[in-house]
Amino acid sequence: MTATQSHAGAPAREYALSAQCKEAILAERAAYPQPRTALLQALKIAQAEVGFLPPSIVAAVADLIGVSHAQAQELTTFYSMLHTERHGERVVQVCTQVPCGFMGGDRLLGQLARGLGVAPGETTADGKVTLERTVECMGACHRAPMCRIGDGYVENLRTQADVDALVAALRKGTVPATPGTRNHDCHPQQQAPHEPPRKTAAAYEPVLLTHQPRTTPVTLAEYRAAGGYEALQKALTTMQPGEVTDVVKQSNLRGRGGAAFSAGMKWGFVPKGPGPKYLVVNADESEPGTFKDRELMEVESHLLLEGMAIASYAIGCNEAFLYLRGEYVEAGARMRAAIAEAKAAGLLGKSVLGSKFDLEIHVFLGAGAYICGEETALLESLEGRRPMPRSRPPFPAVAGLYGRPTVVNNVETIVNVPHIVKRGADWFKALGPNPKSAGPKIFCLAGAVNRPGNYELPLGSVTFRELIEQCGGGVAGGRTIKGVLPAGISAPIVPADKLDTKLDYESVAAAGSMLGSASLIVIPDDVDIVRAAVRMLEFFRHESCGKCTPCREGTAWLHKILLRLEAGRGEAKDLELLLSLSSRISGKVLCALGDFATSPVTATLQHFKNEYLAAIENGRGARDDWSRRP
Amino acid sequence: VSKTVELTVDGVKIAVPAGTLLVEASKKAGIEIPVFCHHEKLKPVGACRMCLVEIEKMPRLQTACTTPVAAGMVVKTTTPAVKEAREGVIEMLLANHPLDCPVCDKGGECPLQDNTFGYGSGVSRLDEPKRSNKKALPLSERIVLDRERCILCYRCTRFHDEIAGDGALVPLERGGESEIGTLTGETYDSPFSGNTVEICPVGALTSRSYRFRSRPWDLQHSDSVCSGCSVGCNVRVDARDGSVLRVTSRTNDAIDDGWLCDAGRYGTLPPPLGAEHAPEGKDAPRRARFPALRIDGKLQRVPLERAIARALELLGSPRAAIAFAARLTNEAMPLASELRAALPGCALGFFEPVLSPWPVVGRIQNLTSVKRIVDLGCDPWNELPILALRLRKATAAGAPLVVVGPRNGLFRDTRHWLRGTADAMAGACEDLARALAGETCSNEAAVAAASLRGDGPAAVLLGAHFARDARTLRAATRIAELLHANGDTGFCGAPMRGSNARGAAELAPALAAVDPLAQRPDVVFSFGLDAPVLPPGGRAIVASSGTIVDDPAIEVLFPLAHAYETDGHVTNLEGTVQSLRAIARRPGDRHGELAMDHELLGALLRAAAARAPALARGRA
Repeated sequence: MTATQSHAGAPAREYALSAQCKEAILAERAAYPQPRTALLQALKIAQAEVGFLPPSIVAAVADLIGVSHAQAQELTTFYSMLHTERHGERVVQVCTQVPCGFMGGDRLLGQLARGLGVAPGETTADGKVTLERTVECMGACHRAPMCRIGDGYVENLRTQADVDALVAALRKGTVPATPGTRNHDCHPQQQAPHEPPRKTAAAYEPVLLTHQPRTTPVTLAEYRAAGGYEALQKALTTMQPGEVTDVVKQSNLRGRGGAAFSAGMKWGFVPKGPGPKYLVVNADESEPGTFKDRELMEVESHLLLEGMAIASYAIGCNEAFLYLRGEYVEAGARMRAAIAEAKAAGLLGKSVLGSKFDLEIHVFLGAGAYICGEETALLESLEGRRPMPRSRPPFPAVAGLYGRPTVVNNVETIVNVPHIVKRGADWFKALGPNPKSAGPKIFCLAGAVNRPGNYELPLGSVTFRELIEQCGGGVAGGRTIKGVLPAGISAPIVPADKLDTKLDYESVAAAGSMLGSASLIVIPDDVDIVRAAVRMLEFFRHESCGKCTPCREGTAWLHKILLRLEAGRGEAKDLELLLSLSSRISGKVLCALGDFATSPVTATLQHFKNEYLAAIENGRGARDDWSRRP
Repeated sequence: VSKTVELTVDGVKIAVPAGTLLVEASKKAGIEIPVFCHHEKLKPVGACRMCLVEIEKMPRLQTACTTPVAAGMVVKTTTPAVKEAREGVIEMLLANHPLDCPVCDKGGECPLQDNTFGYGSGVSRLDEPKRSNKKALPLSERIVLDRERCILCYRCTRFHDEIAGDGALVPLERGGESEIGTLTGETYDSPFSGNTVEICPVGALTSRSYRFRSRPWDLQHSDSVCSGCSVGCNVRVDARDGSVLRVTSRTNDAIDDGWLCDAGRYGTLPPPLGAEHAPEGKDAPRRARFPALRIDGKLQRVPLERAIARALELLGSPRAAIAFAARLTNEAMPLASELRAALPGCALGFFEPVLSPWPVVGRIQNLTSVKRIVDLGCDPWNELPILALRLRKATAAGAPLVVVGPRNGLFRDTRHWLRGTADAMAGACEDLARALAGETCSNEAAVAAASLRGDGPAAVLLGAHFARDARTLRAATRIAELLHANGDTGFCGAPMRGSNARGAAELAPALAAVDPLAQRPDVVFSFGLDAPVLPPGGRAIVASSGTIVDDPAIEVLFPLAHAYETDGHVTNLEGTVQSLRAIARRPGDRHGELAMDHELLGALLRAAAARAPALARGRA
């Protein structure tokens, strides 16, 4: 209940924006080609000042941007990072999704609840801390368990001592709400113990993540010293835009966001005519188990900027957007700093490197919505509209942002571009055994392995097992593997007997799944698959935008059935219904989210039906650990 | 020139224009593809997934509502896969639908009911609790929302986004929690809100004025024309037992484009005749049902002839006047003119001005496709609302809009607003005219004029109120000339607001020039007006279809048929003549008690002619 409504005799309080805040909103409004693009940022600016978004503030923001009050409320209620009610001074959000949940997230939530004396969803009596269980993944799976506090992350909260230190810091109010990863402010351990080693097991020299295990940003000077921005120089001075597209086409660089569509072909679809064209880089990395774009942006910022500049030059774009998920505040800040560095050095802005090519790059942060990773929903979000996927055709290359030709590429796709321009298509194709599916690929390895993290290897150069053993240091706790989710929670689980499958698009498809974004979640034998399915469906139910019927109604229905099964109130006929409903969702929906939403049910049911039958027989009870009943 | 494309739907070969959506094309083959979210006046959205069909060479089922036809396309709508998909969508839609059809207004005309019977499996597999929500949530004084019934087709919110452009109603929350609404604490405020009730495919949005008043199968229908203003939107009038309960759009693409404004939809209904369906209390002012005379201080029922005789007697006063409504039918207009000859001393004219100083040239539908728009003190958003929707389409397609005047009625779509005040209107219009002609002008006008440069048809609208000023009118016509706003593809003029003002100007020109109340008459016959004229210290004769507040000044009362109870014709602002068909008369309302305009005028004329010698004698 908001203050202005004053139901139940609560005193009405009018909120107003300060002059400074209004100015910031108007500046934001003027920053984009269309004012409505600024609506989401304006709401975030207002929330930062007021603490939440009561109706009077939503109305004030709407008036400043020039939309109806209802249209501003539409966004306020859609994005999970915007609040219509007041929270505690610090909001502590604990990730309990797969894999964080079974890596200790649920345990952490319980420890914090006991330590703070509140249940999840509640605020401490002094109004200082609100504890929340999140359904969304935060992109920190390799440092599980973790929580988000304010705009910062606190990760690797593995022991009771870690949690005690954090609770004490929260009580004292010494945990800042500013962006950053601050394991150590409230963490007795000096160094996170398991950052990945720089070199992977195979004899391969990384080209994208060249600074591991470093976590600080690579400066412009460092980047240039290592040959940075030479590819941009080469493209601008020696190549026509069409030639850049051609070399990317020849390299067979396939989209790294998951769909694996040829990047060069996508660029080639952009019509040549006059008028603005846009490059939008998708950094809405929200797939559970995925944290590669985060590391690329936080550390290799200039590599991404150079790639964006080359791609913009190729397609004739002078205004590019980098769309980050709202939680990536630190990555966003580092990208903005890198842009400022590059602009000052003449690498961005007016006449890049003295050429006739101009490029402005906007860093745009979302506000908590997995669906924004879907490219047309992302475009709707950029336009200040409710991020619901568009029906295709038209494709974005023809009518994308503001109805103009637009290329949407993933961060990891773009960081390959400078290398392709510099070293040629043949170099790229030679990386890995399959020239049609080649090049460097970052594998996010999380779940029950000894050394989780990002590993860069050529596509198809290793198998699941090799990656887990050689890079990940084997399964943690000496357990065995139940299965691996190869593309976050969005692709069917690959059972243990198929772990000798090569990690490339075709081989994983042949094994009955998808490589997608290559976010591998290793699930050990003792994790209850019904609990995992409940959490995964909770995610899709929560993240369904609500546009199309089968996804909106179907994911909720599947989740309700699974909850009932988990509680021991299931029946054998429910398993049939789960499969039938899944088939009525998959292939019938508007976007891929709905298709993805069914594999956590269908694939786990296919491979681990005995666990479902056991749940029907005994129930799991409401235990907060994920282990199977002995 | 659009190309024709041939395709096959369920074995039937059809040819349709390229770009046609499959769902529309299939209708040509006589094949119905069920839909919820699809609406021919809204952009394709593909949300409900009800229209999934099989298309050869496509791996997945496709939505017919978003797929344009292609040459040689082979479409199948009856395969097991399509049947399964439809059963699936119905099952999902019903998973959270309350199935309260017995108490739902939509029952009997509900696409969800129809499609469930037509394409559902007839069996429920749901064991989970349904989402529950507050029933009958009032969104505004006109509209109520039932969120449990809503199937989130987004027709209503798309209407406000794409057509009205006011974003008055939006989807809130997300996923399974999605719901339709406004900003917390604000009402659903739009001059076009009733359209969403009409396009809602379930009983989620309902009109408070129609709720629980009737079942669709108990309604009588007639085709008529809205009497709210001079646009002449085509309506279907729905009545029960002779009482009009609602009007809905009878889509005329050339005029209303399928939409009605709230003023027309809710503001033009005749008051109910009886108390059976009336929400008002027993003592509320009633509509006149019988001719009446004031006898012993009270209005008492008399035969029509007696009422007419008394009326003519009163109109014999040297300061008598008749004020006609501008909504009279074309059939009534010549009779009204004739009455003038029969009542020589009486001032006959229209209550509101009907004669436009600058009659409209051009079709209403041209407004949708004009490339440049100048609005000089005309307020279509409030006064001729459907024109505003047309103009919005043009501005959405990129047409610059320059507004001159004290109000910016088309606020969100206006490119430049030159704030001519009510006093300085002529000056502001002349300023813009000079700017367009390249003469000395203000900076503001020069910038506005620059935005209007270019080719293509133009629209110039002048507010009727300002058109009476000769300087403003001259400037306006000059602007129209400079922009080449001609009638073939463009639109110009000063539209009058009365629903048959143009018919009045054309068919009763002698009356159109007269202001009947100019000479302070002591006897006024209000003919068809919403509110009767009561001359101070004088006497009134009233012929009305509205509710009557008993005032001692009223001497004679004639019940009049409302526009929706009348047969006849009216001419809209662009000059199109359209016909009104009366709903079936109320049982027991014998002919003559509710007289149509021309019937009462005919009776008056006949009586006046019979009386003429006596009148003549009286004068002498």
